[in-house]
Amino acid sequence: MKVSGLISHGLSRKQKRAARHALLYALLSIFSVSTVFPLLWMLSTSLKSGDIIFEIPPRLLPDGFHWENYARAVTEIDFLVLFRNSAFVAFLQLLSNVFVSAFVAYGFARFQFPGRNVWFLLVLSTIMLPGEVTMIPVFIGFSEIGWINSFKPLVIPGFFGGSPVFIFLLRQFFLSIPRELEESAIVDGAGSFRIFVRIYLPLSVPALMTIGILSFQGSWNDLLGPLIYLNDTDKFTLPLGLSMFNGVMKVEWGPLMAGSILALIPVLLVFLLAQKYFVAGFKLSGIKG
Amino acid sequence: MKRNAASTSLVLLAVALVFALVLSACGSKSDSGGASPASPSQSAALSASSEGSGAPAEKVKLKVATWAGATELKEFEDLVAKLNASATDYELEVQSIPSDYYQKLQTMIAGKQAPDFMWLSQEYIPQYASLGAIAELDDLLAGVGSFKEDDYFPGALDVGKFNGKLYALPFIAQPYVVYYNQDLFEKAGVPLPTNDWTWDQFIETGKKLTKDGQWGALLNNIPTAMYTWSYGGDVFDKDGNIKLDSPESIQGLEMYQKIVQSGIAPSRAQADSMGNGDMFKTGKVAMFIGGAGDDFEKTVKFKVGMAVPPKGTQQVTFSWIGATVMSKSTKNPEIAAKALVDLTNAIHQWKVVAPTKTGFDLIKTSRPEKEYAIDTIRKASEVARGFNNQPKESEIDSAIWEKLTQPIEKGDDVKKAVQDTIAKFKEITQ
Repeated sequence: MKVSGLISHGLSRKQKRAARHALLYALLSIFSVSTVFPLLWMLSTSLKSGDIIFEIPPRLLPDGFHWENYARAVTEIDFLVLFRNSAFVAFLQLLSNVFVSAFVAYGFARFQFPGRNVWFLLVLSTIMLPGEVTMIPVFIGFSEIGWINSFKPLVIPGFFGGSPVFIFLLRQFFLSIPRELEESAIVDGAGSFRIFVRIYLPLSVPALMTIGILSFQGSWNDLLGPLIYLNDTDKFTLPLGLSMFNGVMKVEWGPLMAGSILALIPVLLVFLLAQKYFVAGFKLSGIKG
Repeated sequence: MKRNAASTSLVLLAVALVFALVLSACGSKSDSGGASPASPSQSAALSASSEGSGAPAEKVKLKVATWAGATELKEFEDLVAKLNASATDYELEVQSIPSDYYQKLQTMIAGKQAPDFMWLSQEYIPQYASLGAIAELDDLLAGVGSFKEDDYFPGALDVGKFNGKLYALPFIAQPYVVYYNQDLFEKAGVPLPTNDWTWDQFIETGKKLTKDGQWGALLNNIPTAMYTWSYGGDVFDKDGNIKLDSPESIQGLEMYQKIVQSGIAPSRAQADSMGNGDMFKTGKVAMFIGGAGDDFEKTVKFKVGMAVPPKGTQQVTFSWIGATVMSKSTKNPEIAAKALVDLTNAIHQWKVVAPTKTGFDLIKTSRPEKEYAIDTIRKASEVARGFNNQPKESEIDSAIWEKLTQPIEKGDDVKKAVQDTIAKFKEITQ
């Protein structure tokens, strides 16, 4: 009795663990399916012929491989031109978002100057302003200096101050870097800019990478900015080109999904390449006793 | 210290180079565009007007904003290229706005960058006109010989008018018609709809075709105002006075409630979730109300029929109307007016259904699959009309949806819904 009681007790503990795992896996599966399903659906739709996309009941698997959707996605819109424009804008926005934001954040994190907190609050307050409110005044401003229908309004402002959200994130990150590192650099004769380039930037690689990914994803998918400022079709970016399949009267789901899959690839690549820095996170802080 | 200064200057140099790259890249791109304040169109317009009737040295450049995308955009660009080839005094340039169309238009207008011509859906015309964004056309068109006012179906041209003045030239007017699945009718032994049937006959027909998993009709596309028109009522009259509480209007709305309660149509939510047109395509509903230019003939496997929508005391149908307007800021309105007429006439030969009688006859060649229904489409076009749109039409539309359509569908008292809607109208227009 005693023995069997022990065994049953042991088993039930094992069972409990198994049950806990089962529950965990079930939950994880539900979450991953709900995340992956839209993507699979997109992939499947991109291969379906026009007739069956809205068939009832819906079909998960396509009726054969209708690669013509992909052909239409790259021929009915100038996919390569759009891709090039998107890459151009996203690259420059990434540069400014990462490096200029870091530069500004460094100032806020490490320098004492009159009204520092007021200025910082001012920067933060621009995050709170919804884009819709500033859109028309800003458009009028750019229109006055003749920047409409060019990439200038999209890329140049970033080089004059970066992006407030990223400044905020990086400032917090810089504050966590021990002052001792800076002090020893000063002893070695480094100036402020050198300290920024040689100490702060290298120590912040994971944070900079994260911001790089966020920035790239944001500008790659941005629809409204390019929509408002660009007029000529040969200056359009990918989201603008893809929305051409999303017509007023008719949505061309097949080519729309095919084009979206193609547009997704660079974001996926960037994410996969930079992923290890995402995870690497906070193993820094190189101070010894 | 020396090394420090050297590396600092190196970094500064790199930053400067990036700036130079950005500026040069942007500069070279924008130089080709004509949107800068001192664009060639301005100087061309000035020179053209100063030379009067003499042949202008430069063509007037005119931008046309369109929501057309992908294939439709290519077709439109071809059409414009042909016009440009034969035009002597203007050159049109297509500006594609593939998303958030009206938001971009409004931003451009606010920034004094309005395109010379804009496509507008009918609801927007009074708003743009009352805000002074678009030009009155009556006087300008009087000087253009190729403009034939009599050729337009009157219902279509009416939506271009605001306070009695013409502001827009319709380029497409798709009358709503009833498409029916002839196979389902024949299987159930139900007589086919005729072109002068009534709403009561419509309900009777629908009942015979409603059974498990199948409905007689799908009505979601019909604007609620159309039921008031059927009995001689309206939401607003042409002068903008509320007519929603007239006995005729209420009679029409009561008929709508009767149709909903007869159970011949799936609920709105159900139909929306299954896809409106798709329920008809897959044989789940026997009758579908949609634009005469829809492509069912090509996309379904059963035999499609077409009829004019049922009547109450009068025969009328809704028309989906798109029109081209001219910006008030266009530099040379006389030449622009000529270009507008040429452009609109050319679109009539391309878009189905054209809002003109001559354009109408082209359906046979451009859409041969519609030939079987040509008489029906003609009859529908003759009785088709748009809304008496108001400057605050979008608010009005949401008031109708919230206070009128939904309560009627829920089974609330029609007269009370009408009173509530009118109260909301008064709030909006005050």
